[in-house]
Amino acid sequence: MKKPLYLRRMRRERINSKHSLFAIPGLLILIATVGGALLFNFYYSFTRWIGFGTPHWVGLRNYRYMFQNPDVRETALHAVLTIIPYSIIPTFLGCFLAAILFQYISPRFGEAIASRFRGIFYLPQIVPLAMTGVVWNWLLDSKTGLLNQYLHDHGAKWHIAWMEKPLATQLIFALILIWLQLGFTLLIFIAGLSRIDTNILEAAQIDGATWFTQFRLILIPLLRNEIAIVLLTTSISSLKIFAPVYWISHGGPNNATQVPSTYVFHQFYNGSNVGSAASIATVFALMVGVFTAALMKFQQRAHVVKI
Amino acid sequence: MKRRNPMSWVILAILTITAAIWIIPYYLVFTYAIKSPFDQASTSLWAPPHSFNASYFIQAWQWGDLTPKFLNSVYISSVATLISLLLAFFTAFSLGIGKPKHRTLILTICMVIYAIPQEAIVFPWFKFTEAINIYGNQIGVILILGILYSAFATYLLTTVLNEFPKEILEAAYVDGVSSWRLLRSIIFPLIKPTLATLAAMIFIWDWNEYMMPLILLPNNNTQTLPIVIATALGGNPDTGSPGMNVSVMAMGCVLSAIPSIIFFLIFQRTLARGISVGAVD
Repeated sequence: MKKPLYLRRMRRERINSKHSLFAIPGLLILIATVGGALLFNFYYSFTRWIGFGTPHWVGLRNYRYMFQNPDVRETALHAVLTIIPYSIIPTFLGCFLAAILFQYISPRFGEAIASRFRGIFYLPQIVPLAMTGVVWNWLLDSKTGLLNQYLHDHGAKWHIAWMEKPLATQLIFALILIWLQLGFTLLIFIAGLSRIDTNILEAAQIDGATWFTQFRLILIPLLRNEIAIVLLTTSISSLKIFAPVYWISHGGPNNATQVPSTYVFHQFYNGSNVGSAASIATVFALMVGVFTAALMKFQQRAHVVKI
Repeated sequence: MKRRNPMSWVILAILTITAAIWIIPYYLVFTYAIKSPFDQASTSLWAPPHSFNASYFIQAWQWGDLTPKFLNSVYISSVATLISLLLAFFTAFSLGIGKPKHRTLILTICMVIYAIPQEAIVFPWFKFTEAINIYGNQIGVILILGILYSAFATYLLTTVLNEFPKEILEAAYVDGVSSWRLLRSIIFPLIKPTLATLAAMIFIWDWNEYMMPLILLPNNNTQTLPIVIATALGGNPDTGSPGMNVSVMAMGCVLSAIPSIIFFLIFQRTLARGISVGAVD
């Protein structure tokens, strides 16, 4: 016979309260450190300061300056535009590619071939970005770069300035971002597809649905959850993008690929104006924080994370 | 296995070309790094090397005095990973097994902390390390990375422990085990595989970390391997010296990518499941 409800509940609560002691040290350290740092950063954002000596209180001036500064506006715009090559395009390409690999290649040429492809597309995600940066700079340098040397050896009389004009650099960098991100979205979608009940697809096939119809009318709707989550996580990583810009394009030429993270980083690094950098970082952290909280609210079942 | 028709070969060919484009940058660097000087001069850039040539490996290692930097990276990444797991494990146990009221809120806070751009905390932390006299010491990097990634580890471990089989817990409660005993003798052995995957993941994140080491470690002798190589090789225009031997540079790239690639090969299957780690397996 079961114990009365109130007794069971008492026991449960006693046990739970005992367990909750275990949460205290970890959470305390985490929240105190990060929260404390954020608060200090918030305080710095109201000061004029070069990083040492006493900060000089200036009220809201940094924030006013931030909204008037065209550089800041431009970097923010770049971060938002980054969503296109770092989130939207990889999501849809990844979805399509995952369907091809999983539903088309794998049944015809074997799973080993499909997983080999997956590994290749994932490579840019695992090699340290500092290295990837060196590699791309080595390839695309206008004077000593491999690509131009190769063209030169094969009769080209001119040097192509790959990464020297703003618009060209932005376009090439966007392509590199797609190249970087595709592996991640592909991985998530393949994981999502492997959970799908294959009976539905077989039934569709018997009814004479072509591969593309299956993709459009069955796979996409079934992957809706994954698509939404991948779009959101990659959008967050687009907004806070740092390493690809820092190591591959260096924010140049003429700040054409500068984003808030690298802009703020340089200001901190040179110690030129800590207060102003802190104000940008504060607004930025707030935006990413709200975005993430919204994502968590949305994320009920699947636990997809950026790796 | 389904029937292959001409169309499927065409699709395979298109895919292969796409994959080739994906791998070419790394392929060029890798083959260049292991080609002998004779091979480099006589064969085309695209041609595979005739033999494995280790001389650039040794040159790169000696040129950059890479042994201490490699050890720095190993030291920083492993201790930081240990701190993350230690902090996260107890919290996740309490949240995932105990299921207290506000655990969704706590998990949201963890994910927000994980997502927050590092530039919002790097300068205060830098001032803090100066104040307690550990600026330039690797312990400053280790502590902040350990704490930051514990947020993500807490989130992931909690979602895993949420699904922990109820029957085992019920049995344990009936036997009247203490929290500590439950944690040590039942939970820990069963989620060891998840912990191992998580540890490998965080280790690589720490290994590839840039902003914190760049700001907190001004001295090249305490810096991590990827940063030392990349800054020396012209990955960063402020400090680079592009005039150096291209082969040595290529080898440097290969060297600092090795740990990540080993990680990927070991944990490929887990990664393929999208790190959903929904069950205790």
